[in-house]
Amino acid sequence: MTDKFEKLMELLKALPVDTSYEQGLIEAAAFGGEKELCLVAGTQDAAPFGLLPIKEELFKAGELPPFYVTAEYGDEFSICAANKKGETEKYRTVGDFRAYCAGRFGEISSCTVQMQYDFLKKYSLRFIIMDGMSMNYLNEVGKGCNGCVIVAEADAGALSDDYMTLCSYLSEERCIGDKVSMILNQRTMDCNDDLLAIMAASMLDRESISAFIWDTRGELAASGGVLEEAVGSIMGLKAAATDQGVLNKCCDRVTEKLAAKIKETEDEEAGYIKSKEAYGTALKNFTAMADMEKYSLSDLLEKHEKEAIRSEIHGMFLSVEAALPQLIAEVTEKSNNPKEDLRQLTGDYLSSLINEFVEKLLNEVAAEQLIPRAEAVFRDLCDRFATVMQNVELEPEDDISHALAEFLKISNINIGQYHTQLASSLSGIVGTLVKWALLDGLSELELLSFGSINFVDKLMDILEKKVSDLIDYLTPKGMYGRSLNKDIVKHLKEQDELLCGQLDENILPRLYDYLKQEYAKLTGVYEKQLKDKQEYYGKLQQDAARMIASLQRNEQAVKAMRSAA
Amino acid sequence: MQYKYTGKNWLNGDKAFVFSGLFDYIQQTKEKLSRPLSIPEYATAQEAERIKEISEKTQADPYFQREAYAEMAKNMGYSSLRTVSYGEYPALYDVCIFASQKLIGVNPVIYLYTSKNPGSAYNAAASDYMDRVWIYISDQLVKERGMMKDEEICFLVGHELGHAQCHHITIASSGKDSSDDEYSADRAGMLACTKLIMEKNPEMAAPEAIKLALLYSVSALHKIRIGMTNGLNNTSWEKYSYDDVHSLIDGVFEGASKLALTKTSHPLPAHRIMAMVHFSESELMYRCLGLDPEKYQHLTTDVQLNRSMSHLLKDN
Repeated sequence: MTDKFEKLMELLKALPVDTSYEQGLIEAAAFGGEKELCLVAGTQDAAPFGLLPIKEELFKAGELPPFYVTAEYGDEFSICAANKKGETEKYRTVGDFRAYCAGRFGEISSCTVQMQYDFLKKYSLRFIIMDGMSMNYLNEVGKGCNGCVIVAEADAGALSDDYMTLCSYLSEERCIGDKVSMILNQRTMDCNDDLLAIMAASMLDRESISAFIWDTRGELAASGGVLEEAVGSIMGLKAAATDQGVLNKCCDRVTEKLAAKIKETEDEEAGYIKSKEAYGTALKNFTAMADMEKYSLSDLLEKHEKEAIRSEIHGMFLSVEAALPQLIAEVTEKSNNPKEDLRQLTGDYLSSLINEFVEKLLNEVAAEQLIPRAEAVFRDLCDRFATVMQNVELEPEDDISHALAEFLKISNINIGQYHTQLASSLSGIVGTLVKWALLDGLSELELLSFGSINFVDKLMDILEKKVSDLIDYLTPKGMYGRSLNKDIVKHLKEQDELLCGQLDENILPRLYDYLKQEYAKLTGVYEKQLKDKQEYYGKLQQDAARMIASLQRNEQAVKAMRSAA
Repeated sequence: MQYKYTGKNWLNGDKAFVFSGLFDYIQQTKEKLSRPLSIPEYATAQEAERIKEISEKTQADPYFQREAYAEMAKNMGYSSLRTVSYGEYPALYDVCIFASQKLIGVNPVIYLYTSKNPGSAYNAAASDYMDRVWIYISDQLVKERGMMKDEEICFLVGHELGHAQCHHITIASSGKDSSDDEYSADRAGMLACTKLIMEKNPEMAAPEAIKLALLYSVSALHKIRIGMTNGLNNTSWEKYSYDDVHSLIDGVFEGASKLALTKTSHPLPAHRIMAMVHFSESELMYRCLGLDPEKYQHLTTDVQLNRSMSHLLKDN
């Protein structure tokens, strides 16, 4: 292969477009055959094998051997068939060949006919049956050939697509050195010979061609002469600079392919830029909308509902106050050591009761009011955002299930259980929040000297201290119980006010903060999805830009190779 | 007699609030307080004996524990006590919840306190009563930049929870000598730290995780000593080297026989490190982690572990 062809092949193999045809073209053009070889191409109906000087027909009408047949000179007549494993079988007559091979043409990869025909001493012939053959295959079988004889049926209307394609291919690309001849196979006597010659010339688009009119009504032996003349005239021509033509043709075809690919990639890049910008806009809009909506989570309870909560707490304290004498009386009656029991654990009891009450109350408020309203805020946000997505010509996410599913991934539950899970999560935290809220509020209050550390324990300790101060162990049980009751009631009233104060200052704000945290997690997941999409298209755009730059460099290289020649 | 409250807007119908009566509450509480004290699996043999003795007292007098707790609460004396929420120190919050859940099985109430005294500024505490747990951590440990890793905090918190779980508050109020109770608490800390490492690194093999936990446990103590020595905000923690900790661990058994037992509130650091090393190589450690010791090699048996502990506690 010449240096130019080698460089071009190396370049073609590295290109990101399909160059298999062009590579085949170069290989075929660059092949240096050891002997003169001429292609004889035609359809089965055109009877190209009939041009061989053998008495019997090598192939019957309608048979399409899927292999090429080479005719070359031999001391005696033989037909050698090779299978795909490279094993060969040799036959002495056409009859034998047909008898053993006619039923298994599919196993044969090539067939060589040797005959004592002086013409074949000078030029081997390779017979190709067209019938829908691809140009890539033609390149392969035509490697090393020095010309082509086309055998065509010359009757009116008999010039098929195969011939048109073949002629165009040979005239424009393969045998651009004018090494093509046509044998027109005339069946009827009425055709004008000159006209047929003009037709052949115009098909091959050349100034001069060799056109031979072969009348099949004649003896088969005469056909050999027609072929001999056709091939002889090709071989007699001076060699044209086919290499340059092939190179130019390859470069032109590849340049077109690269240009088309560049255009395609530029269109893709434009699409990616558009999508990236759209997602960027969508993200900005969503973040702005989410931020605005978050404020509505700052106070989800109506004024009357907050009043109702305070009212429930008051109600509970009043009811404890009312029940206290009986509760204490039961202890004084039933306990073995009522004074000690009351001193030790009354405060504990009341603090546990109040704690549990507040926790249950707020859990119910959260489940019935806070969570559904927080969810509604989020769903409303997503519904409105779907409109925003459409406005920037983006398909909205299927629904918000993806965001919610991502959010709940750690919990390993499905989207159907989302409401239950969120309610459960919030419920689990409410109790702790209540305690913490109360503690935080209380830490700012002046604590008693023994350093109470817990609202509930504060009550416990207050009672213990007060009761310790007041207890007179000599006091009869009943009086003791009544004194205790009086002190407890006084402190209960203080704690009632304290607790209700903490509701607005601390407890509800912390609950709202928690809801905002959960909301932020949900919206954060959604924002991440949008951002991921934006980055995804950004990356695709960068890849496309790099591809375009690379294709342009390739295009320049191919053009340079054509010019350099 | 029960207490019942039916609300107007909530807690009504079948959701009405019901609570036990005072007498029933007292009976139930006394019954709980009278139960034998639980003995954590990791407790040293001496610790286990002490807990059993005190348990006899608490079973006889249900208010014994409560008195101990009330006494502790009175003497707490922390200033600027405030709760820690997730948003404020999420890593600290997570570590505290994790350690408490893994060791005791409840969520704690977590407090930060402020102290200018290095002795308490680089410290922590924990208390428990009934089903409640409180953890107190000096804010110096989280404010001093770069000082403590999560694993080291986990050891500290676990250590304090170990005190709570081994009923040291109750035991202390009984006046019993428990100067060696730090060893049990250190074991609790190591277990919490190991579990955290295993949680973060599920692919890590148990022996490797335990070794790493030993490193962080010792380094936690080492850093506290350094902080106390240098004073508040006087240490460049970015220059802290874990190579020093490795040297501490590797060299702890040299001259060990010459170390005297201390009668102060805490054993000598070298003794504590020795005890932690012994524990890390024991079948008991693996059992406490829920692993089958038979699947691992060269572990010391309970008898061998107790013997090594008794050497540490023997007065030279």
